[in-house]
Amino acid sequence: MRVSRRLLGVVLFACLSAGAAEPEAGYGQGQVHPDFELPKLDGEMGKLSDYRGKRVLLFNFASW
Amino acid sequence: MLPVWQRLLQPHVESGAVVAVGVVQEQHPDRIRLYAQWRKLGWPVFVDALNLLDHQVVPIIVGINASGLVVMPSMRPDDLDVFLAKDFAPREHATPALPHPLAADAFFHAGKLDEAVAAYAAVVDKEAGDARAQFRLGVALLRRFESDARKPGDAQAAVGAWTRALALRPDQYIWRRRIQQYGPRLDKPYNMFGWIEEARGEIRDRGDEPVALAVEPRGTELVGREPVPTVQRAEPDREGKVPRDEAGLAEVEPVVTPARVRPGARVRVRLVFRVPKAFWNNEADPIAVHVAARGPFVLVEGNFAHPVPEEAETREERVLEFELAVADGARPGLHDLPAYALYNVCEKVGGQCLFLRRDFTFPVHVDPDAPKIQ
Repeated sequence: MRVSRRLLGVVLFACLSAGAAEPEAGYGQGQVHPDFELPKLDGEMGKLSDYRGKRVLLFNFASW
Repeated sequence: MLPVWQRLLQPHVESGAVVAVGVVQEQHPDRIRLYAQWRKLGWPVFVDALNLLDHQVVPIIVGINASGLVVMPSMRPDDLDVFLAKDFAPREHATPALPHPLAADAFFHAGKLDEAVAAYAAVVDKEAGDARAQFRLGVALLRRFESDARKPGDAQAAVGAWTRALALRPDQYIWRRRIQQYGPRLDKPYNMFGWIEEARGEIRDRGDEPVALAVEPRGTELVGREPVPTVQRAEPDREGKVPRDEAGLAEVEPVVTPARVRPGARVRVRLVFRVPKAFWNNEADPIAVHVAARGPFVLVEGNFAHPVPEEAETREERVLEFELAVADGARPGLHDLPAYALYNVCEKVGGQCLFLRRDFTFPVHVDPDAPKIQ
């Protein structure tokens, strides 16, 4: 049976789409870091997503 | 840790190759403002007093690409070159929210502390096992205690909420540290905020004025490994001859940490003295406290001295602290331990000054299943 090129293209697209599923939220490798809205030192609220589009090094630390 | 990263990152931050962002786990934002001033930290720094990010330990340095993906979950300085060299293909991703948001969080960040406390309390009333809500309730209660909106019992309620939270999640190191800041001396004590005096000195040497702290660290927050003497004194009013403060010219609010203590462990008691209707008489003896520690409770260390201002009459809040050891065989349950304070107060500036006594009790709840604090 000959398989149409169109059918092959649809199957190939489906396979590629399944392999590129949306990553989970979280702090692990390959996960999308959750957004947060917190006060900054000047008292103004800000979000992590304010820095989307840039490489970010996020330092989670404490003063003690 | 941060100074090393600051030096490494400076050229890359200045060139725009990377943005450094801080998230600090801290009850008191002005302490980190002072730190940032000291270190000339020009990064954006967020204050996560509520531990919304739900981290259990710090420090954690996360490398995030331009699409918001975590590409290096736990970076060290040696990893920086790899992070900068990686070519991350940008993709659009949905922006997930933090886990476990509560409506009360917005009240807290807006400074609406009564609303925040009520909203968190409503959550834990319905579900006492909501550990995050218990912790955040404690944060909001302590924030209110340290504000003009303070209500009696806020600090003790905060410790209670934190103790419940830690019992539900004993692996939460950040929550444990929050209690430890107010609790007994650590088994391996260190000066949590010893950097503050160094910071103030260097800032003044630069010709600047250090950021003022609304709440100074004290007690266990400043204790190093040096021994702290216990002030042993004869009972100052054994026969009860000093008149009682019937008019309530001075108030004392005890805060016992932790709220539940295991036999064999220790509690730290903070006594907060206020004079809503009077003035401290600084020309007479300072506050004296007698703690009737007996039976399974032994006074093991105490700071029964407080600074005395130069002015003759003042109205500042005064804090004294001590620690009790709880014997291994202490009976489980609530023990109300008696104590009293003697103080000199004046009804008004230049007015009549009185030497008075206030009797009070403080609760020590012995529970073999209490979470380990130290």
